[in-house]
Amino acid sequence: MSMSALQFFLAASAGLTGDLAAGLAKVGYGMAAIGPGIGIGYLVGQSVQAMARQPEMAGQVRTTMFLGIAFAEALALIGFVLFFL
Amino acid sequence: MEFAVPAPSTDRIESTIAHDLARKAVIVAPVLLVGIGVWRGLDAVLGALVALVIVVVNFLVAARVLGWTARVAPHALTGVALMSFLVRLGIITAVGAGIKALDVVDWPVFCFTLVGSYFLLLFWELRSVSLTLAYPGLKPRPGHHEE
Repeated sequence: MSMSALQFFLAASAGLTGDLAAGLAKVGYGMAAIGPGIGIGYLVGQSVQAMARQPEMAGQVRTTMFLGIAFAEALALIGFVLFFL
Repeated sequence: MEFAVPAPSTDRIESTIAHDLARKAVIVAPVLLVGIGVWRGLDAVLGALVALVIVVVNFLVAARVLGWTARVAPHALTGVALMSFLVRLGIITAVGAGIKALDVVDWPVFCFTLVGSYFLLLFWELRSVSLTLAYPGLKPRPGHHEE
């Protein structure tokens, strides 16, 4: 009988010892922080470029930038919650 | 890179948004805490309260840091945004680990309130900001309901 990848993963996860599971959770949390980091870097870089091109729009650009950063950070918070749960 | 001096109205725009978020959190908090208290008890109320405080303080600190950098040194904005993100995430992780180690709050409620209130406040603020940007002459005011 063949075992699907998901079934294999679940079976392997269930057999993990406490230390290994905790270590994997830490790696997962670290990886969850990478995505928002890339997103924030790109977002702020584009915002700085926009402010340099059109200084009169700085207000709108900074508003959108701040909300975008907050949304990107939400992903890291989800990683934090999943790490501790 | 030369930057023109921004218009005076943009001086503290991040702080304005963050204070608006904090005001909305104060509006939401009593309902949320009473509901959670009835459902899960005092430990859960404490967990939800701590989560709400963390969310609001995170917004206020981010706004202060980003606003100050955008005004004083816009060329350093990317670096400051990334470092501030890492520092704030580290502080939140440390606080979360401390709270979990102390075992004084309802942990699942703390986690779900942290993420849930963050998204709730953010989408609420996004709605206000979107309306303001789309219709600058019709800024939403307290008690104003648009169709």
